Amino acid sequence: MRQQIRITTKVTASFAAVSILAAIATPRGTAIAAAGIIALILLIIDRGALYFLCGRRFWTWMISGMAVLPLLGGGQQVELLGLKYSLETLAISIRISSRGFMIFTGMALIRRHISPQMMADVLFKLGMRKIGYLIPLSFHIVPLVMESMLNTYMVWKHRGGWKGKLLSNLSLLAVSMQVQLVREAEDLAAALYLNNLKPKSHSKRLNTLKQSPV
Amino acid sequence: MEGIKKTAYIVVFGALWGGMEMALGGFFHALHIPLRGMWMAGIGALMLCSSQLWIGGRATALYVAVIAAFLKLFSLGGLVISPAAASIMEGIIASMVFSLGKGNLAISLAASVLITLYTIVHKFLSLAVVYRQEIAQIYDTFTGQGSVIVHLAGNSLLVFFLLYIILHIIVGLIMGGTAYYSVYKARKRLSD
Repeated sequence: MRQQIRITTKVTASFAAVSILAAIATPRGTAIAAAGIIALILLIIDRGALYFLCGRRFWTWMISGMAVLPLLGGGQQVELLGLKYSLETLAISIRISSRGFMIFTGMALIRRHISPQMMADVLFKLGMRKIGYLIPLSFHIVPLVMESMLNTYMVWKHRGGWKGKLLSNLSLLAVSMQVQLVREAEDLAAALYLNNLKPKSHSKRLNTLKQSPV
Repeated sequence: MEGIKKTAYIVVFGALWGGMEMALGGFFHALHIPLRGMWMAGIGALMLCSSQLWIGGRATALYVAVIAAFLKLFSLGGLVISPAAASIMEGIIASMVFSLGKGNLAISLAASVLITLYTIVHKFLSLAVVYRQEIAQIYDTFTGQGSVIVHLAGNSLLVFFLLYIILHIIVGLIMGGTAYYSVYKARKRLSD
């Protein structure tokens, strides 16, 4: 089961305070401050959307990424424990994380409140008949596919990954990912078939994808 | 492949490519990774060739590309029209090449190489068509401050461009080969 950070007013308020301070300290920090303010707004209007971003793994990746990237160098640097640490790259990585936070929150909000059927209806009204059901489906399935690929990578890494015969291991990863992708596609197709849907009833087809909790 | 099954496959491949464009594209852009267009086109080539090899049929790659382009609009790098347009163009190229024959290794390699080479053309096209720049302005953009081209002349410039094109071809060949090999092996594994 996914480990989650408990969403409390204190946690969100602390995050907002840190983001606003970081925005003041870094150049062009509007996006950073916005991330904190959005988190506070979500706490009031839709706490559920915040849960999407509260897996421990998400925060571990984000914080470790922000800490490691400045070691790549660039611009003004300070020395920490013998390592050159770039302040400019740190500012860039904080900005990227803030944008990521906002985009994923936006996606979580859309996935929670706008069903694929509603999206498809709008696209159909706009005249996009052929892709009218492909786009809503894909929008709702992105996190699932990305997580599935990440899990495949983690299993590959656990079973040797970068160690040993690199070329053969990399080809194994490519094959595993293809197999996993096909399984995901077959699962989706099965979910669509199970509801006895006719090919032309796009709205009915999209009904099968129930609104996920996030 | 037809009907709902085809839809499901297109959605899954498009979602993965779009997700990667969204996350990696913005990340590469923000960090000013060199040749980021080529790396992203390489990933695109892998996804397009794989989807076309699995699904088959006409315009499959184009549908996958349209989904990826739509998702790219939610990129970490902000609103990005040019890479989204590039994705669609890559989809058109893949569809055209795969319509020439059955999904074999040669077709896969050709499609992949053309997709990666398109990134070179795309920069010129976007500046000329979208931003309506004249040839002189485009030249100024490429030879601006900090550009390596400005320090090269004559033969060195030619060698630089040749190496640049060869690098794109190599990446295209690797990605096309990987797509074909991995789909072939995955099919074998699934049928066992």
